[in-house]
Amino acid sequence: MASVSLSNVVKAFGAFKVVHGVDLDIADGEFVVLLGPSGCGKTTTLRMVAGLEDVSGGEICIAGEAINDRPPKDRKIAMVFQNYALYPHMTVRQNMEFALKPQKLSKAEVDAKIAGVAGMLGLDALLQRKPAQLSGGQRQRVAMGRAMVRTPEVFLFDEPLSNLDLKLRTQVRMEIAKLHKQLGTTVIYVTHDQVEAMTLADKIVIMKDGYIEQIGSPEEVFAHPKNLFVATFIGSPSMNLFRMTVERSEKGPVLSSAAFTIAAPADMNGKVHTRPGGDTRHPPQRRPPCPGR
Amino acid sequence: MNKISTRQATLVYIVTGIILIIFMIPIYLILASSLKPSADMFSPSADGLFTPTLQHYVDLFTLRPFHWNIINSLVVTLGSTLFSVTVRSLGAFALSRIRHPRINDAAFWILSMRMFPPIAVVVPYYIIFKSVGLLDTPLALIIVYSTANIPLTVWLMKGFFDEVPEALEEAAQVDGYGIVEIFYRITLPLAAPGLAVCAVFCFIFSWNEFLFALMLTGSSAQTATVAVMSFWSSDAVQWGRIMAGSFIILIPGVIFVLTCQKWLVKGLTLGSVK
Amino acid sequence: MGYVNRRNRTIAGVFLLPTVAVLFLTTIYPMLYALYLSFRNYDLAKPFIPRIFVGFANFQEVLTSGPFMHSMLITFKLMAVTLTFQFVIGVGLALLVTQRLPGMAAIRTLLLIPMMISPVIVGLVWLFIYFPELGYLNYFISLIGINPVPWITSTQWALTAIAIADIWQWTPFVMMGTAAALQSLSPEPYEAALIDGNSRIDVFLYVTLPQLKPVLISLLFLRAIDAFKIYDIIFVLTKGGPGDATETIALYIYRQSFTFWRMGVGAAASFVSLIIISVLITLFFKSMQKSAVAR
Repeated sequence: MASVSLSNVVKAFGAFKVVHGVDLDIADGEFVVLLGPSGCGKTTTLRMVAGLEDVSGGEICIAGEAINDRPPKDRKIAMVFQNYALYPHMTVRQNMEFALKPQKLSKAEVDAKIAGVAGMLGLDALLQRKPAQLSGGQRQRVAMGRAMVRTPEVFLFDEPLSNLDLKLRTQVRMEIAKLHKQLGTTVIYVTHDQVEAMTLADKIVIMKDGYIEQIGSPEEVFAHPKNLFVATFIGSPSMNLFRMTVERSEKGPVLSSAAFTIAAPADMNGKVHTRPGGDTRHPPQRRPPCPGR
Repeated sequence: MNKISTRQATLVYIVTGIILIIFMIPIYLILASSLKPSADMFSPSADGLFTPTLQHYVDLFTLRPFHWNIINSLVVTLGSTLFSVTVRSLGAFALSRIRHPRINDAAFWILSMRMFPPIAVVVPYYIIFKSVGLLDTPLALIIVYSTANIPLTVWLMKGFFDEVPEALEEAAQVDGYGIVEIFYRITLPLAAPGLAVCAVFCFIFSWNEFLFALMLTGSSAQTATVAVMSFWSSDAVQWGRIMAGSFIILIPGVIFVLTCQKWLVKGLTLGSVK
Repeated sequence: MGYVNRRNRTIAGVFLLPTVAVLFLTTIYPMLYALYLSFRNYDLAKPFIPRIFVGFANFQEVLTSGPFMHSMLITFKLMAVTLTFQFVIGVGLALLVTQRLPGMAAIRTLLLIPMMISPVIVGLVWLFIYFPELGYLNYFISLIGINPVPWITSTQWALTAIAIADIWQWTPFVMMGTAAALQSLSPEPYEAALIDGNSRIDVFLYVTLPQLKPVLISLLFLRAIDAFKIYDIIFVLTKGGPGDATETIALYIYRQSFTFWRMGVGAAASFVSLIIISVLITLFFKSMQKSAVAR
């Protein structure tokens, strides 16, 4: 088990910055989801943690050790790729054996590990098959199995469910949640699907254009979005926004639009100043905590 | 393409058929002349009526040491193919995987080598090989052919490596494999069909080559193409033997066309046609 | 320097180096050697004359003497004729063989055979066809009442004879490339044109041809480069003759080097032709990169 911390991590391709100084602390055993629209830098961030991309600036630590310059194999991680990256010329068993080989374990240990993971994921019947003979859901499970046999300290998932149909996605999502509970390993999970994020995460990191917009528990980001982007990005149907004008009334400040007028939230009291012709801030509206959780 | 009527279809068949026949005549002539008795060689009226004979093929191997020429061709061809595929698969992998703004320039530079006229380097080759005593040896041709189609095969192979998902290599990297091991355990097996095609390309090129073979070999390392040509210049013109030898030489190319048409397109157009 | 960066260097070192080394030893080095020769009085027929430095004398001879200019003219003339026919016939043929009709795939395959044949064999079989007095071609044209033509023995016809053989061998290449491109075109624009009722000629000119353009440009340059290097077929059919009627640049270099043994002059001519072909290469790259961007 290990904690992961990113401090001021930057990724630039030449002059073009795709990740701008990301700070993130992940506790041991935590399930963290990086969530954001495509191109927001979440996958790049994950790949930097994996060691598949060089870090342009800042520092990444796993279990307290800076690992910026270490090759992926020395980072105690395992990764599940978006398209699973199963070796097509090897059977399921060979895929797992291949993943274990660099650890130089005895034959018995390897067999025991594979048997354990296969049992946990229900892969026993599939061990002799090649990836082409598996369904999408089965491939996904094999990809997870291959990552699990290595007993890493940190699991990295790169949009692992995006190639599955809706029903399977729900099912595998449950399995991932269950496995995390069982194994307790730290997980960094990248997705653009907020349902996955809300249901799986201990902590959601919402990213946009290479910046972190908000870090918080699913309840927090849902009920207390820190800014407009998070407010509109999270929740389906998305939050309603109204352009309001702050006005004085005999009961103190009120927010009013063409259609309705409400009392300004108490914490705005004394902080709101109207400026003729200037911009008026519209604070995000609150909503009750997510009822489903 | 949209559908066409029966009348148009008939027209298409007639036109295509005529062109096909015109294009096939020389190939027919090679085969027919190799089987014709010498007396009937230049009598088109005898076509279809002559009694086929294998005499020219027999002559080729008894009166002429054509089997030695074929062996020379095979040595040169297999040697250069093996060498080429080894070196180029490495180079193509690098070109396919290195992410660097200037890597495309390197790739184009290698491609540009195709464009140098072989005759321009034949003189230096001749002098260099003469001075190191490699003239008229199969090794000289193996060396020359190993460069000759570098552009073609490197580009073709690069295409095959591009098709192997990089995620597979990344997965192996996360598992703890080094780049060399990843190359021969993951990438190479997956690109193997492509490598086979490249090997065939190299084979056909070396097998068909004439200019270097003519300039750099004498009698002892003479390849089949040069030998066939020499039937023309020496003694009386032995058309039957020339055609018999030609037919033997064209067999590998024809087999290639009939079996790997798809790759032919990719290879010969350097991937500019998908 | 990060790990991935280091890894890239390893790839460059381990994997790219052998290719570069082989290219250097077998291409760059001989070329440099050719450059060295081109400034020397290297005459193999007169081994006792010292191989002295002669400055630009060889280049001067190549560039100011008639034969080289003549060979250049012949090369480009041949190129113009063969490319025109190869593209007109090749594209036409591609349109025919991509029709969805039974048997077309087989015809397409058979038509590819000529380009896989060794150019020497191509030369020899056409020599057989053109053979003076006895050849098949003269026999057939006599059937339709035309007098025999001295195909390869007259200055008037020799270049045509070579062009025909080259067109025969390489039209399939144009057909192959064009047919592959045609088959990769999306059917939707054609269906739209069908619904709109455009004529076939309009569809070809305004829908098909613009989409084929990048491929046709690539094919054109590949063919042009090969046409510039044409050697084997001419060597077999006419050896550059009669006289110098079919002496292309490659044949000129051959004659200077291996008939007159004037290696220095041959090398100088090689370099002049290299420069010409480099211009072609540059144009080729530009078009490749442009069409790559367009794609």
